[in-house]
Formats: sequence, structure tokens, C-alpha cells
Amino acid sequence: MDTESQYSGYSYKSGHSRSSRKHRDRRDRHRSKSRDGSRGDKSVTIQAPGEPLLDNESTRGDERDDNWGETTTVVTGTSEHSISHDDLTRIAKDMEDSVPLDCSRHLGVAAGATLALLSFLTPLAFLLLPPLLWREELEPCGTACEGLFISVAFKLLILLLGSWALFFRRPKASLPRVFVLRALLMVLVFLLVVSYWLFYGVRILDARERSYQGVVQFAVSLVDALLFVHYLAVVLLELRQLQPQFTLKVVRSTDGASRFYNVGHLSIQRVAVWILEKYYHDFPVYNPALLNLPKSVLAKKVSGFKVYSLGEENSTNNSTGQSRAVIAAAARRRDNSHNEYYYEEAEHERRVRKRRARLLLSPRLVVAVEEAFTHIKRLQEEEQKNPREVMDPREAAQAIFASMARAMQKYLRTTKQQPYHTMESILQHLEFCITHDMTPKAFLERYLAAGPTIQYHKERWLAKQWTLVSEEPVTNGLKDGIVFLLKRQDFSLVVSTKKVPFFKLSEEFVDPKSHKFVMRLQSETSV
Amino acid sequence: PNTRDLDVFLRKQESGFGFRVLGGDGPDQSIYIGAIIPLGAAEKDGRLRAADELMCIDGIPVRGKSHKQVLDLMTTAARNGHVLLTVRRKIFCE
Repeated sequence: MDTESQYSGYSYKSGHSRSSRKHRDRRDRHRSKSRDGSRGDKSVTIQAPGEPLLDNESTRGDERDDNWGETTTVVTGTSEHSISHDDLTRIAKDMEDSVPLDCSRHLGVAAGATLALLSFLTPLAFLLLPPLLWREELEPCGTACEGLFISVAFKLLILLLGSWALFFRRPKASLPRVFVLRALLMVLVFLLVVSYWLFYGVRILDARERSYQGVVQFAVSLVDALLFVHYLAVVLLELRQLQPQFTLKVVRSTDGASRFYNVGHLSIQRVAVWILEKYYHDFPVYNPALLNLPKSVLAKKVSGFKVYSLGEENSTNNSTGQSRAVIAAAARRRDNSHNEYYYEEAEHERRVRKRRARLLLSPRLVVAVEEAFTHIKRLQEEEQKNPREVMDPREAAQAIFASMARAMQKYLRTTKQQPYHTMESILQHLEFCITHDMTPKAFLERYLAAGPTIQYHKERWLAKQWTLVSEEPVTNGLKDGIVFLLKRQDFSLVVSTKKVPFFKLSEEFVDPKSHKFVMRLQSETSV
Repeated sequence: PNTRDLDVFLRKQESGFGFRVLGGDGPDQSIYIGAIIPLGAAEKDGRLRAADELMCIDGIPVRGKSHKQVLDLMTTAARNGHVLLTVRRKIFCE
């Protein structure tokens, strides 16, 4: 095939992978391309945590078990004892993509946790050490001092709750570089606690301070300082990014799907994570089969032209003349190939239209599903039925699935959605709809239009590994005009930044009594 | 929309020419035919329609003239007993 011979040249780079030499197909091409990502620009990898590095995103249009509408047996190409092609590539990927970043991420979390624990226990230590060490010399604690105990207790409780609310969250992503603001806060807390301990050690422990009230007040001041640091954390980590300062345009490179978003002040890596979250529920799922570019056009490349000059002396004229000739020749060649492209495209359109008209897909599918739904109904409490006839949702779904399976499969195939919906997923969705008393139309909304990526079966379509390609260091804040890329294996998201304009709002006062009107008299006279 | 110009010659009856003149409120506005009075000369003649734009009275262009000037022209025509009106009608294609 044209495409394979063209692109197989790339897979030689993945030298140490056995499978790539054995199986020259698109999957390998994508893998080697992703490794070439770290070229001139700084490209770093963002990875969502908590999931294994198994990347199951499949972009192949043909699936092995695509005939489930017509046959009931599953066709396997391999025997029980051999590993299928999928397994091999998966294993190879595992070996190659082992990333050592997990250690550093856990290290950061551990450091933060110990620091927090230390700072929480410090006031308690301040309060408890004097009575333990020099109880006899200590002045008895008066009323004011005991009142401060209550204050310390409640402030510590509030600090605990606040920290739980702010910091005890599952991390959404592992960022390529250090999260600067959070590191700053940790350093601040560390310095605070260290300086308080220093003071305490020198002036109170060594000197055996008598006045217990002074010690309690000191502990209270530390708790206050920690609360203020917590306030600073809220402002820096949560509030600063809320007020919109920049407008981002996110365009998917393959099919041009685009969205605009407003963000506040964030560093580039945090913006990237934020955009990815929005991407998964705003953008329609990436379907390479819908790109519709005829393969012959994709494979064609306009090769470079060499222009030979015959006896020319002036070098500058030569170069411009040469480049002009090259451009003209390239344009002519491009025009020719475009003509072919248009013909192919028109032909394809005609074919698809004929097929659609012949099958009358969408209405046919709707009718089939509606008819299937009429076969079951919910069992009311009062009705008594034979236990053998009563079904749970799963069985009910299986019972009515057969009647609409064929129409559904035809529809999915023509709209090129069949890689996204396996028979199992359709059955599950049918079960879900039946359980919640949904109408056929509600059941079908999932299939009639391409939804956002997050709707599809999680393990298959949610890619975890994204590569951030940026010319600026990724811990820099956003500025006007920054462009960066979020790359996946087969497509990328191009993000460009624009500053939100400064609005000059002026006021104009309108007196409500100034609204007055007159009739427009049209003179009409009889003659 | 296309327009069609036509000339209508009316003879004055006892009650007048039998139509109403509309417009002439501004310096650059057209004069229109208002209602056609039933059983008047204009209705008997049959060609004139309400909302026709009055272009000329006895050959004198009236567009942009004031209401009073148009009435003066019509009074002169009434003294003569007949008037030649040039009207423009909008033809809407079906």
C-alpha cells in the first residue's frame, strides 16, 4: 500500500524495540514520532497520576470484533497460547515508557506532608515542653493564660480543616517542572517554623522562662502566623488565577476543532493541565476516520526542485530567479495534485451520499430502537408475575438488544464510529437507560452525535500522556502572544494566548424624564 | 423591486379628482397617493392606485416639493379641469 511504504522509513529509529521491526504498522510510527518530540524546543511530558502507563488509545479504524451485529461468535486470529499483536505492542510500550518521574512526585508529596505535620505539632510542643521540663519554677497559669488555651485549640482546629480543604486533594496531573508557588509556600513555612524554634530554643528553653503566659502567647502567635500563611496559600494557589486575564484559543491540529477559554494568571504548565481538563469535556472526540483525506493525496509529496543555471554570472539574480522558478514549478504541481484531490473528494462524497440514501440510516435506527423499547416495560409493585418472567436490567437489555443490533451496527459503521462503541459498551448503556426509564431518543443521543472524549469508555480513550512543547520555560507565567503545543501521538492542540483588552468604561446619564416623542404628521389632503 | 411608470389623465368631477395626496413633509421626500376616494374620478378612471409615487403633475416634477406646493399645483389643475399625473408603481416579481 502507498501509505505503508511511505512511512515505514520512520520506524528504523526505534532500534531497540523488537516488535517495531516485526510489525510495521501505524502504531509503531506513532510511537517513534512521540519520541522525536524532544528536539529543539523544550518539550516535557505531563502525565496523569494513579494509572499505569498502559496507553490503550487505539486509532485504527478496523477492529477485529466488528461483526457482532451479525454473528455471535468472536473471531480470534491467534491461538490460546500465543500472544496477540495487541499484547506484544503493549509489553514493548511498557518496557520503553518506564518513566522515573514517579519517585520525584512522591518525594514532593512526602516533604510537604512532613512539613505540615511538623508545623502543626510545633505549637503543641511549645505549650507542653515547659511544664514537662521545669514545672516547679513555672508560674501558675492565670485566667488570661487559660483563655489563650482555648484560642490555641480552636485556631489549630481551623488550621487543620483549612489545610484539609486546600491541600488534601488527589493531584490532577504530574507537572514536568516544579510547581513554583507551592514550593515557595513550603519554603516559607519551613523558614517560619525554623525561626520560631530557634527563638524558642534560645530564649525559652535555655533561659528557662518563668512566665508561662509569655510562652502561651508565643505559641498563639505561631498559630496566627500559620493561619496567615494558609491565607497566603489560598490567595496564591486558588484566587489569583480566577480573574480572567488572558483569552486562549485552542485548536486541534487535525480537524480544526477550536474553542476559546478565559484564564487568569497561571504558569504555562498549570494552564496546560487546565486546558486538558477542558479538552476532555468540550471537544468532540478525535475520530481519525472522519478526516476523509484520500490516501493517495496524503502520500504524495512535492519533492524539491533543482534548478540548473546555464552560463549566468550575476549571483543575486541567479538566486531570486532560481527561487521564483522553484516556486512556480511547485505551484503548478500543487495545482495538478489539487485537481486530483478535488475529484477524489467529490467521488467520495457521492459514494457516501449514495450509501446513506440507500440505507436511510438515522431514521431507520431510531425506528428500530423505538420498536425495541416497546418490548419491555417496568414491573409495577402491585403486579404479580411469574418469577421466571421477571428480569433484571441486564437481562432486559440483552433481550431487546438483538432486534436493534443490526441497524445500530450499520449506522455506526457508516458514520465511522464503530471503534468507539463495542457491543459490551452498547449493552451497558442500554441497561443504564432502561434502569433510569429513559426514552429511545435519550438512549440514542450518545450515538447520533460525536460526544466529548470523556464520554467514551475510560480506559480506551483517555490518554494520560501528553507532551507540552513550548519555547518558553514552562514555569513562566502566561503572557500575551505565547504559543505552545500539547501533543498526543496522532494530533496536537495548538494554544495561543491573547491578553484580554483593557476596557474603558464611561458613563452617560439619561434622565428618565427626557424620553419624549411626537407624532410624525403626514399631511394628507383630498384633491 | 421593479417599478413601472405610467401616465394617468384625469378629468375633474364636481367633488374633485377623487384621491388624497400624501407626503411633502421633508425637503427630499416623495409625494404619494393616499386613499382613492370611492366614486371619485380616480376610481372611475381605474388606473390610479393608492401608494403610487407621484412623480409629475402636468409634467412638473413634484419630488421634494412641500405639501403646500403640491396642493397649489393641484389647484391650478383643478381650475383647468383636468390633470396629467405621472406615477411610479412598484412591481413585485412573483
